[in-house]
Amino acid sequence: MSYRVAVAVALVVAVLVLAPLVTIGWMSFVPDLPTLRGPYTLSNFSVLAEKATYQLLLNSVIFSVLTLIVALFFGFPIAWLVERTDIPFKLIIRSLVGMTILIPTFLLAIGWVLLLSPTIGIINQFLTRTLSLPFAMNVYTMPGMAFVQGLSFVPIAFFMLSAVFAKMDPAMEEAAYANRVGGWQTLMRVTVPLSWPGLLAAIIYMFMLGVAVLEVPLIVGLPGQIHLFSSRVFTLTRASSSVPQYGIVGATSIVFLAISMVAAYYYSKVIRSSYRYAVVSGKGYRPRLTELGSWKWLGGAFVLLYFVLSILFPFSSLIWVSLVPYIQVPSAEALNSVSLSAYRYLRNPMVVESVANTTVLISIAPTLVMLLSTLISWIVVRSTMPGKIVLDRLATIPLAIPSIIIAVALMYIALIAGPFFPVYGTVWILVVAFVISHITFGTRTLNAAMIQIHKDLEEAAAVSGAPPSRVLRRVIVPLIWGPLVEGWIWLFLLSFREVTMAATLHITDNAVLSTVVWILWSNGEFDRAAAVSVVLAVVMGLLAVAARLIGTQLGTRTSLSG
Amino acid sequence: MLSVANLSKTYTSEHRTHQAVRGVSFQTRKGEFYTLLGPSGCGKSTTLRCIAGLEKPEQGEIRIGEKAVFSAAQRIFVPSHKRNIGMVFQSYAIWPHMSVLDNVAFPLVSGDRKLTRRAIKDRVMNALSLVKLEELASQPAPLLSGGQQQRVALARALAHEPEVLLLDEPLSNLDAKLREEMRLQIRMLARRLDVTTIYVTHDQLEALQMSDRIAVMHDGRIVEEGTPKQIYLSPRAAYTAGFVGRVNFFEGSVKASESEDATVNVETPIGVLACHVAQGPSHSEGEKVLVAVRPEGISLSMERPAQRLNVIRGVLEASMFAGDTQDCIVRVGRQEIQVKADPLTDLPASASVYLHLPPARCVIIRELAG
Ligand SMILES: Nc1ncnc2c1ncn2[C@@H]1O[C@H](COP(=O)(O)OP(=O)(O)OP(=O)(O)O)[C@@H](O)[C@H]1O
Ligand SMILES: [Mg+2]
Repeated sequence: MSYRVAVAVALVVAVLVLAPLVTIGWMSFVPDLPTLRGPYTLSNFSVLAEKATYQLLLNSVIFSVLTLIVALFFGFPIAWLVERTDIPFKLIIRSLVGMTILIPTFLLAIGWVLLLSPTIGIINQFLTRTLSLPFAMNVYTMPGMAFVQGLSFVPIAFFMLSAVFAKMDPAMEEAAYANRVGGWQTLMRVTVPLSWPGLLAAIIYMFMLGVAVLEVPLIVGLPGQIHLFSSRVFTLTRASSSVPQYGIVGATSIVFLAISMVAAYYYSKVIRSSYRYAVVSGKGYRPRLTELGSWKWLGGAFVLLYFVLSILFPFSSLIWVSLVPYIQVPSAEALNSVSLSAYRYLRNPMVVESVANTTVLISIAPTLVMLLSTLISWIVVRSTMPGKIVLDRLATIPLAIPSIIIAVALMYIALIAGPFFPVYGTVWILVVAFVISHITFGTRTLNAAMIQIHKDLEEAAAVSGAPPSRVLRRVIVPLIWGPLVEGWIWLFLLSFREVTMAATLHITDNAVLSTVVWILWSNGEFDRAAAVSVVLAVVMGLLAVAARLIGTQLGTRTSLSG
Repeated sequence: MLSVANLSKTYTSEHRTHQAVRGVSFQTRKGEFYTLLGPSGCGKSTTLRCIAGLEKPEQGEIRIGEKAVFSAAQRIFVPSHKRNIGMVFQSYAIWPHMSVLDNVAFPLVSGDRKLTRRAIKDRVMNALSLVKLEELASQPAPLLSGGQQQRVALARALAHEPEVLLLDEPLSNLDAKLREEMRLQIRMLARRLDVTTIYVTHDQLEALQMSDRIAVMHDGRIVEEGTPKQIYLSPRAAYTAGFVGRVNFFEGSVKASESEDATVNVETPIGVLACHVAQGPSHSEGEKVLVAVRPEGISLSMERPAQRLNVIRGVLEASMFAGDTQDCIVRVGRQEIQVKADPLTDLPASASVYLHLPPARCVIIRELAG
């Protein structure tokens, strides 16, 4: 790789990654609207002296902790059942959990609000009107929020813990059984402690995600007057009340970033030390599976419960609400009023435009991420360039930047630098935001792939007269093609369900499908929101299946197959 | 043809800095088969990789033909893909995503070489026929056996008719029989194509059988350079004698040469040895030297042999039957001597035996072994 290309790549990455951070710092010193010219002020930092700010902090932390408890409540047992017991239908369970990763969290949230809103929720209507019970459940509470968000984190917990259980030496558990320690005791005394580093990594990772997520805090939190960091940042940038208060956003975000950075630091530390942990034994053994016997039914029921809560309930409610004129308990009478009229909204210009924007986003953003990541990983893994480690570190920084902060920063840059960066209110700003926030994923995936390629294969091409660009095209890219395609597909699906940045960056013309749902929802057009949600979910499912087929076609295994 | 002058290369990693090559210089003639021989870690591969442009040395100069491809003084560094070389890696480095044909054609379609499709196909088939693999041309590369991969790598390295062929332990992953066969094939191929070849190996037999000249490397330096015969039969460095084959060393001092023909007498702990001197500076009386005698150069007998010179008595300490010879250890005074005896000789333990060390096999080495 020529030196100039490497330097150019490094500069691009530095700009992409550092721009949001610098911008956040910058904006915290600017009193009113975005500007490059002064005056500057420290007044924004007065929010740091307000009790309300720490209430936000506390709320975010509580929310995050409760969320990960819910996620582990389902994720840990399911991962253990699939990896370490003889529970039937493992493949199906695993693929279904894989599919649930793809369910956009805001669809889950909307689905559950439609069921559990204290006033209109279908379940609550059923409890209070049909059964005439004197109480209703309320989703607009901290536990309600954590329940919904936790459900959406279950697949993450599942896959992170599956990896841990799959690598665990069965001899350690066998030793416990051999010494007549019972199954439950073994689980708590041996299995849990042995999986601790992996478990800790999963916990920190989910905590980090938990403080940064926006969808549930918006959809469930705001109506319940529960404010979190992320939802506060979002509302502050909206001009709904007065002018957007970017200065305050900046100052608040700095605290927000700090928490996230600290979590990310511990995450990378745990990840590194877990390699040293002696859970892994040699390859090629079959882990001993615990025989469940008649407990099999209980285990199966538990797994089923998860799918009912995360798929069946929310999606039935979405479908139902999209079909009836107002939210009501299913009944014979209600069945008469079923119609597809809400789906007529799909012909609305805003939806049509959002489809075009979505297409741009899901085709271009993943491609850019993988292209850039290929170059970065190649430099980091293979070159002898001095300072390449800096490039590697730069590429991991976005992991620690909540995506809403990336979005807010880009918006600010676009406002200031309009003439040089004419992306304000276009889908391109969304593309840039997506690229920044996913560079970490792209480079981690490709670093791992590139390390596997024997250096000789590359050097053989060089001594055969191939210049670096040709080595990349003809040798490296074909050899990492599998992970490259797999990564692309994954990002393609993620970009389709992306809503945090899309909603934050939404102005007028750059709505994507997920933003449309959000807009309809905030306007109270529940049937239309539900209709678009159903379409979104169906398209998502089709894309996932198509991606899986394409992936298999290309001789690769997509992440969906687990 | 290829000339390397005062080459130095230091590796710096987080844990240590290590000077892998320390001032290596050598020159080869056109078409010469030149071998870098030495133990693991002595810097052979590093030297080769510097020639290939895969490493950037700190010091020295490398010329291929008339062209300087590296010069520290003139700040020249020609990248690998612009050096006209072919290289075979120890791992073969056959690209698994390409067919055999595509592998071999790669050097022809890369870089500045502008060839027609026809010409490329002809050259590829030609290269494959050199290594007798024409019929495998359309095979996907991963389906090849180790030996076939090795030959594809060779064909690939030769396809574009490089000025210099670089081979880094190309035979070390093959089984013994195939290795023997390939030694001969590579040697004949290099001679037929008259391509200058730098061959890296730690296997002394390979080096002796294949090379026009051998450079023995140790600790980043070339210790000695010479034809296989010189290297084996009259090494000038103790290290060479010790590394290439087995050897007995006797410390001694030169006595006034009462020379008949070209011999010098050396006083050693096992007695006075008459040693052959080829040529070079003469030895002065009292000079401390080392005498090297290979085990197969010594003949062992139960009766006193007829020769007058260099006959010594000793006690048989141990013997091991090894098929084509018997490996014996004979004690003479406080020195143990390794000897290869005829496998038919009956050797009772602790027998008293006679050793004859023909002067032609007693090589004087100036430096004392360290
Ligand atoms: N990339 C590297 N970084 C650091 N040290 C290296 C590197 N490559 C080689 N070395 C060191 O340089 C020395 C010489 O290595 P080199 O590969 O040239 O040895 P070699 O003679 O080819 O040995 P072998 O027969 O084992 O291949 C060794 O001590 C090795 O550890
Ligand atoms: Mg080597």
